Amino acid sequence: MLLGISVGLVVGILPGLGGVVGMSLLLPFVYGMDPHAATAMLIGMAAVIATADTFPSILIGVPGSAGSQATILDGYPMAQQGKAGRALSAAFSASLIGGLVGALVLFAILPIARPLVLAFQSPHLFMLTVLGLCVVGLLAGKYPFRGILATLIGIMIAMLGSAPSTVTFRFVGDSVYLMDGIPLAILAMGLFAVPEIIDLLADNRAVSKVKEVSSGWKDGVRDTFRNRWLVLRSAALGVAVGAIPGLGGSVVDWLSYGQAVQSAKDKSGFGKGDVRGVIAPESSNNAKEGGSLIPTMLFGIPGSGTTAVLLGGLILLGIQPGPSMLTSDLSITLTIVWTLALANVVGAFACFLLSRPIARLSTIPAAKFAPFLLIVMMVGAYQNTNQWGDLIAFIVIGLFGWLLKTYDWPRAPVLIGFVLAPSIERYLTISASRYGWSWLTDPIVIIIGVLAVGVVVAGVRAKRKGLGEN
Amino acid sequence: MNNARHHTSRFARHTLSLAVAAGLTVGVAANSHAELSGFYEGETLEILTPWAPGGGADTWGRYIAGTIGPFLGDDVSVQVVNRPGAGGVQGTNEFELRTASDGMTVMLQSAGQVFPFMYGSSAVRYDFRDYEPIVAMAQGGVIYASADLGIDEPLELWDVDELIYGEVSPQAIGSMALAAFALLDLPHDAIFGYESRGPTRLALEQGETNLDFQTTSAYTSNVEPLVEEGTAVPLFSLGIIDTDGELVRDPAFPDMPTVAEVYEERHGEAPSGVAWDAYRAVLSAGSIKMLWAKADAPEDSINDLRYAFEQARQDEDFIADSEAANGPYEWLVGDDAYTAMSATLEISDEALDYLRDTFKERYDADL
Repeated sequence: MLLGISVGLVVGILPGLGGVVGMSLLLPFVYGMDPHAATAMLIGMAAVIATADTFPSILIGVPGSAGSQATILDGYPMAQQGKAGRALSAAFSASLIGGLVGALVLFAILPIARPLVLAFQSPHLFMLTVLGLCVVGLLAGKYPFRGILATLIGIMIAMLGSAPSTVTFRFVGDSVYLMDGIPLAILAMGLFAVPEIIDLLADNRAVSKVKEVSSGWKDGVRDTFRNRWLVLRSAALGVAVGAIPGLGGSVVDWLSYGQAVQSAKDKSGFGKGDVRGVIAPESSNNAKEGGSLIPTMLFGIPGSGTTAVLLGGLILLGIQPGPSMLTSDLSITLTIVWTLALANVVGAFACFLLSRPIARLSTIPAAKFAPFLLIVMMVGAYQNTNQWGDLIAFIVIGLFGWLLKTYDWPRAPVLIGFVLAPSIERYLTISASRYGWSWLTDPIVIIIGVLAVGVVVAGVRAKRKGLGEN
Repeated sequence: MNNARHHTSRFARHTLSLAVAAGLTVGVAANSHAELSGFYEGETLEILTPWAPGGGADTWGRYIAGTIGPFLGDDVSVQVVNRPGAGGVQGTNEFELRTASDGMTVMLQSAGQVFPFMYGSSAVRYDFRDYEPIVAMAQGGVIYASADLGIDEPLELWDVDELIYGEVSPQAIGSMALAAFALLDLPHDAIFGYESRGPTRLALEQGETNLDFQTTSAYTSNVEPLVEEGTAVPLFSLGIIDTDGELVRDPAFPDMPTVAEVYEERHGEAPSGVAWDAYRAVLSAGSIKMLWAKADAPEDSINDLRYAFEQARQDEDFIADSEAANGPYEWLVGDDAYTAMSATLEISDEALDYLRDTFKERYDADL
């Protein structure tokens, strides 16, 4: 487990490397290990990534893995204002609590989860995905129209590659690289990291202010406790989103950020360094691991890339995930739950200990730091498929991201559109070919639809008002 | 090849065929395959797996990587190298175009690269017939239905008003089931677009579909509990292609009829003709996992690999571990591996046209 935690820390801290990479690194060690020790190692790694990936998000504005993108929106401004220590400690304590909630819910819900998962059919999943798009498309940036457009751009980028239900390839020409579409990690780094680095180099300033990095720790923890209901709410959301197969872990942070903004009385600070914008996504992205293990263990359906590799690891150990996880393999299940809880605690404390030396790194002047960072990200990009296409895509998307940033277009909706597009297309195709038009009259579908419209209307109004005041 | 079911005779036959292939006289035959040359001593063998870690094929490759080393000699390390892309085509192209023929890399084959190869996708740069077969395993699967249909027997399927089958895409492994339905001429609707076989199973549990297919491991761990609680009904297995290229009962489900038996029960005669050829081609394409070496790799390396698996398949511990990880399926070495794949590798144009026409007509899908 400790080996897993160490790997998780490193993978989380390095920008652009996520759980799948960490799992793949550990998988060769699994064969021949004791099943309990091996699952503990894999889970330890998965649990810690969501804590450690906060460092790059807050300190340099680059997502450490897919689950900490929303943290950038407020975490990075905080670091620029010299509140890096406060942001980090708030993030770690929120991660810790979120992770524990995730483990607890996993433990409590396993015996009763089957009917819950079975309740969501394709039409309902389609509507939930649409709702997710509406929430995120509107909350980022000042202009609702731009948010919606950016979401559509993201959906268009996702159309590159193979279609989900046929054997046709779209917009790929003769490029074998494009057959799989653009890897998520490359899009995320290109949109969020490259623009930051370009601007850093242009200004040649230090990434964050040196003197206050080491202060504000107590404040951060206090922030988390003051917002304890937000932490718990976000954790619950994280578990729920993680548990729905196909919704995927990479959107949970945005959804969580969205609900934090929606529920806040004073919205003015968001995007400028409001600590709540750090707490919410961090809490839920640790909680989602517990959630995504529910379908993985009960149905053998991985809820994310990380759990897909975990599933392979379990099969190598001779464990077939399924209903037996609650009977003959119960000891493995309990190992998983306990490791998840323990690793979250150990990981959070390790991050606290590591934060000073790592935070110092971010005070190096950009001209010295940026090339190194670019190389790390290039390596991260290249290891997606080990093809030149990765690097080309990385550079093209990086420039596109820089243009968006320069002209004040929101970048988060692009990413969300990209992530959710396959699910939208998939569930719409299935709903239409299975139920014709009749699924539109399903009561749950109508309720979620009304909610989505409500979110859009309320969001546009709130933004208009905000713009009027400025 | 004549029908030989014993290890020894198959082993001898194997040796013989290799010897003939190597242009040796029968007298010296025993040497060509009877001992290790020590080609891999202290070396690292790489298993090139053209998918991301975690899938079925990757897991099979990792089982081999974790167990075959000692059979190859002292101090041999075996590693899986993942090169995902284009559903498996990308990494296999790389094996064809860029991998050195030094015997240090073998290619893992599974459904993902075989279907595009069989249907002649323009992205494919490889031809399995150019490679040397090392070892293969055919793993089967089961067609089952929701208990809501109220049927117990495969033949009752034709009395059901609306059969709805969930599928990923026309070239996914579930197309084995589609080819079986075509052979049986079973009326049904197919819903395409599910992400993988896990979600299709969920869809059946939810009542969104009522007919589904699962591979052996998923079936035993996730469908058998449903059968026990009375929500799912097993119908028939896809069957397994044996070393003579014949379709036999699946050793994991010895009490379950195969597609061929259902056909025979319905028509009074064994299946034959183009639909039968097409079914067997799709079945071997979808169900067989295999390791291939480059044909121009050092002879010793190919000899040692085959010898190692030949020893392993007679080793009690190896077989016991294999049953736990891969199901009760045989390890087919060398020519036996090729024979099992031959229905796919040597598919006739007629059978291909039949598949294209059938998929177009039934599902409006282009292969």
